[in-house]
Amino acid sequence: MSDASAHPAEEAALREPWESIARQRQAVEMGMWAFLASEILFFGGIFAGYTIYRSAYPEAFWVAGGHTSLFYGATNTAILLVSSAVIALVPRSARWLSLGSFARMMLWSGALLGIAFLVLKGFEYAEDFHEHLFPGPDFELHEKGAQLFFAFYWCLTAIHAVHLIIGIGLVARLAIAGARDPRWFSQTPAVQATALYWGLVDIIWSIVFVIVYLPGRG
Amino acid sequence: MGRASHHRRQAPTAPGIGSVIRRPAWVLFVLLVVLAANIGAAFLPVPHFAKTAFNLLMAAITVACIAFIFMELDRKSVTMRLFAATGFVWLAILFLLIFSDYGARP
Repeated sequence: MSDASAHPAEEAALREPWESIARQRQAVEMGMWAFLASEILFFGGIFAGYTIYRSAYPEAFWVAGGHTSLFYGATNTAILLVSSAVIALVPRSARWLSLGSFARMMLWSGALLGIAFLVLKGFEYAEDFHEHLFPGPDFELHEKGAQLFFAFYWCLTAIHAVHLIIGIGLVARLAIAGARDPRWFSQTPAVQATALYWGLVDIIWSIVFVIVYLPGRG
Repeated sequence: MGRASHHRRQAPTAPGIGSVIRRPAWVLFVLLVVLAANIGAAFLPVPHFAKTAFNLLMAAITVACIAFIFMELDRKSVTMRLFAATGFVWLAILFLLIFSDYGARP
């Protein structure tokens, strides 16, 4: 099969109700961005709450921020940035049949980096529990407002982790389906949609890292 | 229709893997440098406010690089970019409202 025979591949990827793959691709991308806008607002509500409480308890948030693990936070940020770059290669290569296996390799690499992130997060959570940094009667810090900071910490990082798990699932699904039908893989808008979702998961984390892990240093 | 899908029909010959990787690899390098600068700045003996402002500026650069390069907004039509901007615009309005109160308190 040569790369020039695009038509059968387009037919394999075309779905109802669209008449052309170009229209389908445009609709899927727009729909995805609309979904991502709702995701931004979903996390935006938590960021807004964080901002208001941080302005109410600036010192407690600063001190509490210093108790998060910068090692795990920074390492995971770097891992996620690398994974984003790797996933960004997928829409750039998947459209050519001869680069299909490279694109699927990048999908698996991104998924593995996502798993590495989750494993490190598990170690970090274990350390946090050990240091009594979970809000409740045994909470380690006594400044008024410090528990609120850690309520945001757990909430933001856990919800982000759920998003990442979904992202890993989507990426793996695409890699498996793409290996089964390489022609479909070369044309399906699922490639763009999956890459966009992964990008948003990294965007959210870039903000979480700055507001959760960087206060209280030095 | 975006330029990317137009390109799809125009270029039947696949590019080399090197040319596919080059741009995202450079952006990744920049983002890792930005991350290092952000962590380094967090330890500087300067007022908290200045550190936070710098940290948020670096986060904004990171977000812009991911959205425009990794998520390819730089190659999309104006309509698609407007669509992508809506979430951020509403978020900006939300924060404008928050700071009109909390930012103005003595």
